[in-house]
Amino acid sequence: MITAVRMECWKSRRRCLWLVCAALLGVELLWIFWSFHNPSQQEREKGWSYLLYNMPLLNGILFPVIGSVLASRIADVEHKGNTLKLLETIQPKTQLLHAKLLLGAAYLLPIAVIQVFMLLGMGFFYHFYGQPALTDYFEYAFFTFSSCFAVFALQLVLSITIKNQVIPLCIGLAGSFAALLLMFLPSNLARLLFGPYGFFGALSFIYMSDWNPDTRVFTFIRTHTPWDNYAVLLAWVTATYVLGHILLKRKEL
Amino acid sequence: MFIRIMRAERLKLRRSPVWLAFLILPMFPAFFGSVNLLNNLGLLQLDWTHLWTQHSLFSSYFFYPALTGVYCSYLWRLEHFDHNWNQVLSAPVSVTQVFLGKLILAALMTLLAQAWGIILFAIGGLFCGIPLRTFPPEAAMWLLCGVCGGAAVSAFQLLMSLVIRSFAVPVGIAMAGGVLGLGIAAKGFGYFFPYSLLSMGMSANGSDEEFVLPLFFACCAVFILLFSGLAVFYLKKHDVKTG
Repeated sequence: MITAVRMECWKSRRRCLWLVCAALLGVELLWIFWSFHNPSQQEREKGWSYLLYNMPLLNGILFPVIGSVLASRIADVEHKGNTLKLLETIQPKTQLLHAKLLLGAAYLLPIAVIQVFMLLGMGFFYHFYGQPALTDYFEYAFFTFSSCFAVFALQLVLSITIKNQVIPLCIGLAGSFAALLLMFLPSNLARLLFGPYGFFGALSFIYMSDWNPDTRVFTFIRTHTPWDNYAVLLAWVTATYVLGHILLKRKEL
Repeated sequence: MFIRIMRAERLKLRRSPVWLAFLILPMFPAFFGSVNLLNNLGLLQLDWTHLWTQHSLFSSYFFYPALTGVYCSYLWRLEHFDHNWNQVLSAPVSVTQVFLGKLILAALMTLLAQAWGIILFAIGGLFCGIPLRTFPPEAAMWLLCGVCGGAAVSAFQLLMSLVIRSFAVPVGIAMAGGVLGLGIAAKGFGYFFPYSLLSMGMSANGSDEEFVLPLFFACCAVFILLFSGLAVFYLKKHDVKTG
């Protein structure tokens, strides 16, 4: 398995996969800078929660497309070189899937970690009041990684089984729409049932409350950590893995 | 010769599923915009202008750029396969015409997508209960300006998809460009960034006060000429990579 992962690393060499991840982080950083360039008193007071409230929305809009790009870059090397046929003679198909999933995870984990450092840095830079709830930020990183991995896994399965990459990318684009739409729906059940795309919202634990449209005053509520929703996400990841396993096994080369 | 190029481009797109994306994806912001308007009637008024801001806000900043990115990548996809570049460049046609053929197709697809967006806008308005007789005549201008902005984005995306052989990376660039376009337009520099031109043309922020139409069209034309020129220059001067 280690050899398989090493091979994936070699295949992804000079494909600038890190640039895709850096682009996501760069755009998010610019967005936060733009949102907080002149923070009000209220934004400074509630800044630490504000960041955790805003970021899942941003991840939900951006990551399905970025995740589909990353998955497509990792998978299309096999389509371009028509290498699946050759690889099958020396490597089980499932091992290839595992190696690609692990490679993707190796890119996604730094995204979540860097994102948290970025948010904390931003909070200190703008002098947000009080200290950040580090446990919340740790849980945010964990949930961000998990949601991103679930989306990436589905996109990878699509990208590796469908040769025409326009289809997985369009599904990723539709996933962005869906993530945005689901975040504003009052039903939590809809978020859980609409594939992995709804989990950017379903795993969010900071909610806005008592928003007054006249005074623009609001408060943030920290609800319980949604471990129940996380269990559903794990079920989706498992289902995606099983689907990928079956599709890849049956794929005619 | 140019007609034959267009015919060849059409042939390459035959039975391609890409049009499905243009048909289905605009339904999301239409549905979302209409529901969002109904949920925020305290803040927004039940009229066509407010409905349009809800329809166009997310689609012009996030989804039309990405959709254009997908389409432009698809247009160069066949050329990047195998040794097809050798065949394209040895054919008795100029590279300018090859690029123009693709640009016209991309602009045409943008027109169809935006027209479909306007139809969905009308359906969304009827769904919200806004009388059709008050349908704004400005919608034609939103459509025209949206197509011009879309053509500028298409020219840039075609250049990106020409230079970058990967199918997916230009789509990521388009998505990032759309998000950056939001910030750049908010800072007042929207005329100098093609992705902002798309959203400004579609009047996504609902305000036409600072919108200077001649400047908008001039900027669109400059971007289209600039990116087309760069693409043709790249095709003429750069050796192709095949295989």
